[in-house]
Amino acid sequence: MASQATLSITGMHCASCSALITRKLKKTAGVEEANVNYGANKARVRFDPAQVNEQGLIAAVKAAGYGAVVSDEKDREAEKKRRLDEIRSYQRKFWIGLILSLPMLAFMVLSFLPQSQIHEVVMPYMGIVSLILATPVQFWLGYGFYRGMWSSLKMGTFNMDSLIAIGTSTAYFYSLWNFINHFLTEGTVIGEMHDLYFEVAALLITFVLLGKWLEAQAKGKTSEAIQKLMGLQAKTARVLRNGQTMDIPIEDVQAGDIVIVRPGEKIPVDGTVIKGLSSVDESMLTGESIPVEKKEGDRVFGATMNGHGSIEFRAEKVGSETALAQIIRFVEEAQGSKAPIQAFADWISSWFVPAVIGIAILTFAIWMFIGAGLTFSLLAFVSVIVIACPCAMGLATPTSIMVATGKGAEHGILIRGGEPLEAANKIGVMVFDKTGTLSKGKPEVTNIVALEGSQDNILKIAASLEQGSEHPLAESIVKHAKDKKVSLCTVEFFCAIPGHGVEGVIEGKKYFLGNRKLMQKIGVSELAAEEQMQTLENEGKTAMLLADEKHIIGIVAVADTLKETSKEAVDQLKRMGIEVYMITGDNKRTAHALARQTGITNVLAEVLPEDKANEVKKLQSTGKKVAMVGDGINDSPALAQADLGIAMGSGTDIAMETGGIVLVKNDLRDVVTAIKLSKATVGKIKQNMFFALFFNVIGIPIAARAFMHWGIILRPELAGLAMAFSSVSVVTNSLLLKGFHPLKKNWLSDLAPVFMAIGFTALFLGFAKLSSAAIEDMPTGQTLPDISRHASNLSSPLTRNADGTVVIKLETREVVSEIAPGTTYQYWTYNGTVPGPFLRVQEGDTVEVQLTHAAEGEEVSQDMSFDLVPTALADGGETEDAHTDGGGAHAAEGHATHSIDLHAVTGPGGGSVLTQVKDGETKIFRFKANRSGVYVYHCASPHVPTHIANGMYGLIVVEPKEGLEPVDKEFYVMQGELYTSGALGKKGHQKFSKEKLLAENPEYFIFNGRTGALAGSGALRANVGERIRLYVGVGGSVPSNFHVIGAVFDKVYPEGAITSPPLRNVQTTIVPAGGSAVVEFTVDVPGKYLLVDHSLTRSIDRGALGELIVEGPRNPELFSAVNPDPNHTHADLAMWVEGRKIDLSAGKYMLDEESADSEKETNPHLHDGNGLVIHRHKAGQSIGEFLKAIDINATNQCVTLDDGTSLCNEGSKRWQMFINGTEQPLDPAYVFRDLDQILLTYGATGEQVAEHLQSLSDDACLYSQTCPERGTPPVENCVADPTVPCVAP
Amino acid sequence: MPTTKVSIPGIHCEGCAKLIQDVSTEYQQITKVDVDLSTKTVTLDHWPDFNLAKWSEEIESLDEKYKVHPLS
Repeated sequence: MASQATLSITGMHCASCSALITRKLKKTAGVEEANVNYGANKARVRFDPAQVNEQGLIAAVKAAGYGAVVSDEKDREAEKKRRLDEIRSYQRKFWIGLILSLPMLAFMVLSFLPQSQIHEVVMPYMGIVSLILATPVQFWLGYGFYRGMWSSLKMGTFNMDSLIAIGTSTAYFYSLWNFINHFLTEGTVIGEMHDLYFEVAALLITFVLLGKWLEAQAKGKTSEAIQKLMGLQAKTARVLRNGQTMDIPIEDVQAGDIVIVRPGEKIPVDGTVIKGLSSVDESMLTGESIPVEKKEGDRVFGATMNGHGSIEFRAEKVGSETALAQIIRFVEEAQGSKAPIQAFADWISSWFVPAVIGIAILTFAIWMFIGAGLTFSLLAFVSVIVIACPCAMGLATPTSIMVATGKGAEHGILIRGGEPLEAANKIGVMVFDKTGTLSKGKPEVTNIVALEGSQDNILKIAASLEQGSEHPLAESIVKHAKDKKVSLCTVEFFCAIPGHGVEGVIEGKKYFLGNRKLMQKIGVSELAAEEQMQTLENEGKTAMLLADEKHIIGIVAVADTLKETSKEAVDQLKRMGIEVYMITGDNKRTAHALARQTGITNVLAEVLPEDKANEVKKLQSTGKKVAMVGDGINDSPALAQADLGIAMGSGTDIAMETGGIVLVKNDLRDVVTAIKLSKATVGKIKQNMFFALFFNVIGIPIAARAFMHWGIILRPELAGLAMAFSSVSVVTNSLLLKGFHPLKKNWLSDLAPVFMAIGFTALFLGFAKLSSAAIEDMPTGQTLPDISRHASNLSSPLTRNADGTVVIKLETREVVSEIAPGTTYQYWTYNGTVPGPFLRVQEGDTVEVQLTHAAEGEEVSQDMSFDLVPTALADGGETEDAHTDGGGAHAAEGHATHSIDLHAVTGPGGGSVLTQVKDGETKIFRFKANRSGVYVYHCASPHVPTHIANGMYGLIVVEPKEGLEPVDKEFYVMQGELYTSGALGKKGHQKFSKEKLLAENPEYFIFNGRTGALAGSGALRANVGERIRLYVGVGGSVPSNFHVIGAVFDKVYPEGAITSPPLRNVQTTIVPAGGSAVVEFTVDVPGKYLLVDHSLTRSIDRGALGELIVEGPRNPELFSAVNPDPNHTHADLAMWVEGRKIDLSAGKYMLDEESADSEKETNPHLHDGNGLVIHRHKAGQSIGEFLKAIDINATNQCVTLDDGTSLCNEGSKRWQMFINGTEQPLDPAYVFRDLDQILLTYGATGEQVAEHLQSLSDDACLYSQTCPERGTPPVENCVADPTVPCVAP
Repeated sequence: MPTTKVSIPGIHCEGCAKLIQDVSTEYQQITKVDVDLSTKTVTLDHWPDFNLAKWSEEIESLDEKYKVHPLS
């Protein structure tokens, strides 16, 4: 005998999985039948225990790649529990995730408020706390995503889980890597850390868990229908075996058993009555609430309810063959075959995820290839992955559905999850069950025909008779009488005649009420009423005859009437373009009668319960989406089969469980409302999907830093914040569905996408801008204030004679600026620059120093003032740009106080003891500048070296009374060091490293605050012949070996001793730490001179390199290149126009020489026919470059001279270029070769060209003839100039 | 060896692919079966005596969504 087993299957995700498992099971030896239900996650298997056992079945399922455990019927409870557990598990995980993520969210918000006090306090702990909080989220709560990714990887595909796992892992491990890096370099887990994105990973996982929770909640309710159906079955059956009655479990009933059913019991299985008479409520199968008479030979069905009689029947169909089992199977099949509409999710997993990963890798590769550096490239990679993670998408559907279902409930429409909502949107055909759906489902008295007496009297007698009856029709007659306030009489000798009607005696007279059969039985002719009977029956009514013992005296017609709102609902649906059908098991006559009233023309009548589903299937096969509206158990297969099942709230539990939508108010107009709600919701979901992706798609190129060139980039944490915003926006958008009303337009909700698109694009660009502004490693950092003080930004020599009081206002400020491009640092400064203002006083002056520790918003407008000349700035410096920085938290940064120690001061601490200023404080002290010299000033607050190392230094000059020797230019140069946490060249924001300061191991050496401060636009500039004085100081702790490459200091006042006799002709001078030197020299030769610390790696590699650019005429006597060919006076280059040699020594083509030939023009510039000859001894330069250097611009068409005239190819006139006698097209890019002789001529005739060539050859001949060893001349007909002697090289 | 390419629009996930491959293993005439989820096509390498009609019928019986349309 075959055994049966039910297995619980795990891992099925679509209908084809169940088909696959079915196949695998069927192929297993010994399996007779296998049925796998996808919706219920169950496999029912009938097998031969001799060949295979349950373990074998489980192994077969596992071989197919799914999980299975034995499940028995009791397992339904376990199943339910498992589902509940799943919901609870997601719920718990979400809350834990949220609790763990919230502090990180707070950190994220704080990081955008760097000025806040909380930020200062919390900031050092953010890293470690985030790591501790994010780790359980990542690996415990997020374990499911890794598992999901692993199983999809095994299939060789990507899914949403993969994206989430990859995205969060990237963010997590990148952060971890930075964290470890911080720990390794700093030796502590506390402190400000950069590039930590733990919160991105944690928030992402939390958001997705929320989505899963909402999803599980909706899904958990779906399979209850089948369980309810199962519960309908009788548990036991009383059978007659071997002459004995016994109660046995229903599973053991076999075909052929005689089953006994007592009054009020459920009929256990299907069979044929062999004995007894009863009425049976078959409403669960047929939907008809009127009990059916059952007598010998009639069929009975399992799970139907026996009425008052007792019957015996022969079991014919048991187990899975019963009508109920078939219904269950229909429901199961219909539910299982409905694969979730996942086109979008499929698209995501199959296309979007690999594309994103591809783009991220490409981004990384391209940036690496361009040479942007590992950190930068990796950051771009992480940003792309993080921003692409469409976490809002997980919320897009569930939130809309949540709101929509809530809104539906308000209108009495219960919606079971997203699928019915989505389906309702696409419905093309609406099929209504008749009884209980279109109609009220309960018979009502519609007509009373009095053949004798009054209608009231007929009703009175009929109702009185039916008082004692339990027949449903009786009920309606009694109710009608009560409604009409007809008083009832007492009835004697009442008797119900099953299958016929009732009889009784009222006031001594016997009456009969029943059908035709009753009339025949009592021998009363029905002819008198026949015509009216037929009319009523044609209208779909049940007519009952009332007779006394001789005649029919009246007719009472009862019918199931239409609900008041049905017609309106049908009309509305038709207006919406939906085809409306009516389906019923009732006869055609009744069906059509009702259909006429509703206006339905498509009527499917006399349809058996199982065929209702088939009819739906038929309609579906036309390609339309079909909705079924019904209320009975018999409707449930059709409800399940339909794309959308709508059950009436008054209907059976089964129908309600099967239906995707339940109409609580039983008002069919709600069908219309449901469809409207569905359309609104699906629209909302699509909007949400769009926005969820919109963010990601526009975010990807920004995150990839593709628009960096335009200043638009996105840091990962902003990407994370954008992601959070997209989630919030999606939720908000969903909430707008709350404004739904079936009769009104929800403008706010309809317009929301427009606002969202505009708002979020702006937000995004704003974020990007914020990112760009704050980004530490962005190559173009113009937004930061320049820390360096220009070398020429110093006060002029003093011209006054009188002593006086000089007021110096200094303000300490913290400024974030660039050490080098892409590397930032927080400097501490006097008045916002390094070095601080150049203070200049005169010997004998009283100096009042006002030192302010800048609080927020303060600005000092003047550095210094002199009370005798109050309008002039003693410091010639410019007004500083306002730069404000946090005042309250300076202590935490290690500069609770600042001060100033002026080495010009004779007194304790050089003034520092009097000027220790806290936040917002100002202190003033005075000193008499009684010793002339050049002195360093610096901050002397604890820890003093730190203050100095961060930039708090400058020079003060106390001029002697007689003043300083005048010079043409003065410059202010101060060397310092920077001790950054990151090694030299590391990009991004650098912190101060005290360890390196203590080890005297600076990363940068700088002139005036930063690398390159004195180069390019910051270069020192002078003209030839000018006398220059440099005030050179060392603010830091490393003495400088100061040298200007290309200059000899003809005077040096070492150690700032300007009153001492100078040293003469010094090449390199040592400037002590905390000391200065004054060097003076004259620049006689134009060109670029370099300011260096001649401990040269400091200048070449570590930044202390400046430029002095001197302009003016060349001074070949003093400085010129040596001609390798002594025969030539014209060095390596020479130029002739019309045979006249042009003086190139001034760096310019001199055109103003008088022509010796009076017939020619006075200015021998190029004109028609003449030519320009260039001769070169050394290779390398191009013609164009050479000409450019002497202010002649040449293109392929034109040559423009310095006087502005331009000669271009025009008609027959053109430029000709002869290189060593051979004509070539004019090409300014032509690069000279050694000994090249070039003739450029414009519009020359043939004779002129020959003449020019001859003059060209002159020069070549010149040396070739006098110095034959230099080779033969490049052109013929040389005319030598014998006056030029040949000197052997 | 002939190759037959058919379109089965009902294919929607890797489960379908496995299912079709599983069915195909029962046909000894089929030497190679390749299911392309994105184009919803199946490419079969098989011996000339392969009965495509029978195979199609079996595939179609698995799920009502499966309808085999020969492409080549």
